Amino acid sequence: MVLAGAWILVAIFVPLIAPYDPLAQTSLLTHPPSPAHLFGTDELGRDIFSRVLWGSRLSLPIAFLLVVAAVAVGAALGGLAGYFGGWVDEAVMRTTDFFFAFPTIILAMAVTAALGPSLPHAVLAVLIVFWPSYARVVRGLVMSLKQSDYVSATRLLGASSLRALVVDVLPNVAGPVLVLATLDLGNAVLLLAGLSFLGLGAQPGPAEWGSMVNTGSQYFEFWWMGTFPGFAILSVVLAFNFLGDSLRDALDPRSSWSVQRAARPGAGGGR
Amino acid sequence: MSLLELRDVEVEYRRVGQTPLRAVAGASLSVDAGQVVGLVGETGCGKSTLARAAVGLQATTAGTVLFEDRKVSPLGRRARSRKEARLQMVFQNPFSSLNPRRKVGDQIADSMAILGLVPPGKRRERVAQLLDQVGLPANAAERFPHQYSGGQRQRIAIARALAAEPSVIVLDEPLSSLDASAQAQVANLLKGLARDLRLGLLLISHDLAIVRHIADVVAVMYLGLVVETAPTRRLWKAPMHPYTEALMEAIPRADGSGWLPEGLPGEVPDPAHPPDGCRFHPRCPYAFDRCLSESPPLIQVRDGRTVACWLHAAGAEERSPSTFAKRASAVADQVDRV
Amino acid sequence: MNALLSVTGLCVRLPTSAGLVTVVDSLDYEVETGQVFGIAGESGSGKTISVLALLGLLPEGAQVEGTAMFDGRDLLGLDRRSLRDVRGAEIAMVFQDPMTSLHPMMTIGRQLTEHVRYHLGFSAAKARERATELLHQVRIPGPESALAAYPHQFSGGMRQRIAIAIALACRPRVLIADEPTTALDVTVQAGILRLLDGLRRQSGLSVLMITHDLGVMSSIADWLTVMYAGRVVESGSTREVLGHPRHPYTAGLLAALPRPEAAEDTPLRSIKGSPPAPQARPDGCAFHPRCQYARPSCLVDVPALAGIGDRRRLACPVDPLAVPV
Repeated sequence: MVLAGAWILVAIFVPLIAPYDPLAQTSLLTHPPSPAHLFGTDELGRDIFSRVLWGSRLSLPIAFLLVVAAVAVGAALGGLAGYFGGWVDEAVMRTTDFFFAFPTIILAMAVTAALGPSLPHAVLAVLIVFWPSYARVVRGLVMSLKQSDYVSATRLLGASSLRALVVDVLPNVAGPVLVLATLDLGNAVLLLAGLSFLGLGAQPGPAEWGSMVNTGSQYFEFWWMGTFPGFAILSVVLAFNFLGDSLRDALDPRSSWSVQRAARPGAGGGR
Repeated sequence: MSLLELRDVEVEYRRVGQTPLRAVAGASLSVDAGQVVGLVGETGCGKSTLARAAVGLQATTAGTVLFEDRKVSPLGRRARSRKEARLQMVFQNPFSSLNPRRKVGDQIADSMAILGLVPPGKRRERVAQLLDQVGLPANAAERFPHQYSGGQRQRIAIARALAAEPSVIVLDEPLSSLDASAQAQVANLLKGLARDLRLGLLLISHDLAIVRHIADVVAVMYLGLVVETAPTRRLWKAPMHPYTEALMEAIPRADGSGWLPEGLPGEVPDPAHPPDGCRFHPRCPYAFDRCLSESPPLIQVRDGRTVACWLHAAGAEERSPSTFAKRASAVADQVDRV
Repeated sequence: MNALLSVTGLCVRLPTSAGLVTVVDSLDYEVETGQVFGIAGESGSGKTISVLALLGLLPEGAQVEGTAMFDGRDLLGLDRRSLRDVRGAEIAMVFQDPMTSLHPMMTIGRQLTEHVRYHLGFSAAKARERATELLHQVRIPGPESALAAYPHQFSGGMRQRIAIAIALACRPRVLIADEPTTALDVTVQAGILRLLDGLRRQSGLSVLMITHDLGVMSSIADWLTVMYAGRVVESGSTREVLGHPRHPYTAGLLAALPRPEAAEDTPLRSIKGSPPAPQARPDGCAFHPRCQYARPSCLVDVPALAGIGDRRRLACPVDPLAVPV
């Protein structure tokens, strides 16, 4: 959690921390790490440390927006499918089936290749790849929650189906979805970087980690060029994974709760 | 004129690759204003299904359900109207019948907003009033359900139902998951509400003993059928159906006397394959030949009582089987599945 | 007086987010051969935790104090291996919900024979014989074919009988039954209680019965201990405790029960408030906030468990219900 927080702070304050302009080229070409350039310089003399820091400005907000969009689309469609069933459900499910038939990377690659390699297209590709999982999850949750007594109760009190869905079901779906979304932030960063690494996303130039690793792989003897951006990706993904895990634990019954349950053996009678 | 009337209601479930299950095979009851009707039965008798059918959460396969003289339609896409919402339900499990993520006050005020019963400015006051009526402090409105015990949550559920200004409330085992103390408190509350607000209550329970303290009229169900109905006092004085008699004899007494209650032989049969003739005959101590082949209809006997048993003829005097009927010497143990 | 199981000063503390919480506080009792000993209490009373402690089934981080002498050995001091040998073979347990305590994917026969083969080293044939004998003992019809069946094919009452059969497989000397009939219909419950009663009369089995249901206690228990908020409030013979309760809590519980003998119109008298959660126990006498006889001293002093007659004990210095001599 601390790590994730740190990265977010970096992304916000980067103009103040980064010692160099990420695009500024110096004369120190492919210089190994030194006190002046902590991570060394790349083939155009740009400071890698600064570029790594600036990369967070690119990757983090995009990943965040990506996940939010995927959740929005997936939850909306999944919620409607789960609650209303019938043909709506069929339509949504068959669509998600179609997307699930393809391995994630392949699909993302196909979309970007078709649209033309660029960062915006890569973002769209990741969105397309991510939303079906949310649709599935939300649909499942909605289907089980709509049977609950409190939903029945609210319908008896005069609520319309839609109101029951929005006011009663969805807030209870939010928990598990939030956990998934947080874990997915790491995945989004990874997938985007992966696409850029393959040359299908961000093109070399702006400081984007994936493309930096790509360039670095071409200049293998200058190990610092690819390694540091790679570590950045690793640490961000790990950070969000841990965050997601902590969130899941926080939302789950805590040990004190389960001890309380053990200490209060079932109230009264009842079958 | 009864507020809630169920006539020959049947509920059958279709199952894939199996025989259909008739959870309710023909039940009739009615609830008047200010009257508490207790529906008692054990596992597999269909009482919960009947309760859900009574409010429209479950569709009926036959028979009619009338509320305030209008047919109750099963809950579909369409939202319930104000008139339809005068029929409310309180569920068995107080832990799942309240939305864990919404404040208590908001949930109680739901019907006021949806049905337009109370203008926005007055809602807080009304919620406080309802909480007071069920014996909870006004600040409960700002809290969440998980901060309350089972008994308190049940009261919140009752307050929520009352907010819709109902004339009849169906309660599905409202006391089952509560401690003895909470049971007594909620039981007294319900009795008071029925009396003070002239509410009709249909109370479903497996506990005959506690129903005795709350209900005016008791209906006993066995394997999908109502087998006896009577005013509470008369039922306890002289149960007419052998099953009712057995139910009473099975209730333990907490007096330290060491008296062990008598149970019933065998087990409740699978509702999908009920016995021929009278459904109770395999376990009945008084069964005779007619019981094996013909199913007794629910008939009127004296003093506003009904019973479905070949031991009693129409218009008969009220008397329990143990006082006059012959106990069969060997009763075959009904073994259901194995 | 030949006490088979003797528990002294049992205290159990469980870890919570708010630190260690005392769930059971100074519990003492003795169970004799062939007797049914009842521990009654509602939620938060600690009754189930107290027996889980005996069998080493408490969650991680639990702290236990006191002794539980069984056959010359202190159960609370035994290592895991020895406890495992005791569990099942000498002290067995039956739980409330037979659906979750029976393995859904194993046949009844396998579940029954597993025990005897592990603890007593029976051969497959001998174990099968014993399994059939056990099913017969608990009155399951058609025992031979029952062996090949799965739990879901039986009704609730039958499953509980099977659970009892499994518990009795190695001829234990003590059977602990935790709310064995709470999930069952009253007509089926009567059958199970009669079965338990019959078993203890025939084979000298001791039964430790845990339940909140005083009616069940009255039917079958010889001796009764009433617990509230982790402590014993009253104990003695069932006849005495339920017939002439001396502690306000016991009396209040009895008054809240519907009595078939009383008139229908009598409202049920409930104890105001509800039992406290383990971490929110009041100071002094834990019952004082709900007690109509509470005196200022009750808010401060924890009542000591005092003897008031032949094997009769009471933890209430006020003793408002004492019958004048």
